[in-house]
Amino acid sequence: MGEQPLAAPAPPPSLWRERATTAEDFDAFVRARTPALLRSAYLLTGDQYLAQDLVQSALIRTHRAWRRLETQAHAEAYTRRAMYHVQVALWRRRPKESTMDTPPEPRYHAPDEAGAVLNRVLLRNALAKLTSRQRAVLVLRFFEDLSETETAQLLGVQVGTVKSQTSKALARLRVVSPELAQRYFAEVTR
Amino acid sequence: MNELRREVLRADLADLARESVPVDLREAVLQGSRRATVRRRVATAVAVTAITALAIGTLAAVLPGRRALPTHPTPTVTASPKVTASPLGYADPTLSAWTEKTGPSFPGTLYLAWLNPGQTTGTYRLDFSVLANGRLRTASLGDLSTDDCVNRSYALSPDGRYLAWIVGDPRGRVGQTLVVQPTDGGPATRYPAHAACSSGYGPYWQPDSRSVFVYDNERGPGTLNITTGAFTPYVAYGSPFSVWSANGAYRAYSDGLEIVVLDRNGQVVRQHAHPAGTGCCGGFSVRGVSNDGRLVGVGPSPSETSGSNWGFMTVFDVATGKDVKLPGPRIQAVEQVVFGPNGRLLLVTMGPNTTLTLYSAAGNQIAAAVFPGGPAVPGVLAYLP
Repeated sequence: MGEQPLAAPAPPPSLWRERATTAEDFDAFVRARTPALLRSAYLLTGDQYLAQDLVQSALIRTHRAWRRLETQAHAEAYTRRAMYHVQVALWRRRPKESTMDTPPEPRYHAPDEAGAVLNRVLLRNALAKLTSRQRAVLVLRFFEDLSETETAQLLGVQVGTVKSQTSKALARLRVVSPELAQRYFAEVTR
Repeated sequence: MNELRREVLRADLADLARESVPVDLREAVLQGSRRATVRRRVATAVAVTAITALAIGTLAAVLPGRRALPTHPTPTVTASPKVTASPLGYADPTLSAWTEKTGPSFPGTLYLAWLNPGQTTGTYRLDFSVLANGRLRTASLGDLSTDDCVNRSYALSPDGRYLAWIVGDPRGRVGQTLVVQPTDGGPATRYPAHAACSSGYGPYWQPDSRSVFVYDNERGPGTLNITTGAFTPYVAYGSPFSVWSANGAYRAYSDGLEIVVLDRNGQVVRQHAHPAGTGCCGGFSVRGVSNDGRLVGVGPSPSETSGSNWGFMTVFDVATGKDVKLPGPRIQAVEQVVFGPNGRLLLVTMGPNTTLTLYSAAGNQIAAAVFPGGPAVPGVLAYLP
């Protein structure tokens, strides 16, 4: 009996599984992390649609790098870095930092109360009067809770720049919203 | 010297960040990624073509007796339009006809709102009910999503004669309308107010039941007179996002740290820090004020929406700065507190069923109405004795 011709080897099942899992992983990652990324982006941009664009741009970069990213933790860090870098690139492309003239409109929020709404209105209006750079530094330092060094690394700037931008941002907050100044700054006697 | 209250700033940023609308970006990301790949390939091909053409052209030019090949303009690779989520559609419902059936016996008139599953999957029906003399009259607004402006904005006038709600895109992008619907079944009136479509932004009925506070995206905060349609900008002292006492004598709000009670003329009559404002226990919200302006119904803030604390309310005495012990069983989950006249207190409590219990100022039970348990839990819009 003659030798049977060899059939073309089927792709190893593990390969298919790996690819499928990779796609599923990305799907799960986007599904799980988009809300949190949007929250940061919303603070950065002050606008739901701009926030969506920013997160989308960052996730596209993540998708293209997905095979190189080992874990979801890496993926999240990569996406956030991409998000802030896109934002930094936008600053650098602009000839001059500009602030938004019109505060963004109020948007959806879970059922809540009057006092928090007032604070949100005040804070939203105040953030709209900061430069993009100042907003980004505030978000990283006080929302993401990063240190000055971590913030500098993420933004690709000097620690001194982070310090000066933070200081300018807080000073501007105090000027544009005395109500918030009262809320965020406690008198300390030494 | 001023010191930054980092925790307060952090909590406020987190609170503001929650305004972002969660959207599904998966398809847009995959499409964008595919387009980026195609763009890169096209750009590479164009570059290779251009370099090849250049090389050929240069070669042709330097070779004797050969004419240079005509050069083609280099195609410009234009960026594809950005993929963004399509704007959400929104409901503009009309109130159905009122139906009537037997209800639990309860003194006075209760105005209730219920969110029930709609006829199709994923839709909801907002039922308004009026319980009086043992009869339960119900009318509905249908085909809503949980994100609809209607579901986040409905409010009943203090006299129970009008319902108001906002119609528009939940993202607040398009012009919105304030709808005022008489509860006696008359035609609804629509006002072209660009009212914010967001919970907590109103509309808030004013004590006269003829004007409504709205946060207008173009004109700012102000009141709209439902008889004349005139809009009056808000200029009074304190937060415009205030809740009024049932008798219209007081209004109250929180600034996240303190609770402030003002009289109808805008004079501060009481002010006291709330323990939840220190940052120890999450935020808090003011949801009602008693007719004497001393007691305030306090609920958790949206940041405290998990665990056993979800939705439970307490009553805070602004004069003493302490919580008031509520009447009834010691351990009960009080979903809602409604202040009535003469110190009466209406408590909505959860258990296997939803129970509405009316207590006298002395803490004695006057009446109770039980509604069967289930996903739909009634919220009390108003109680008129």
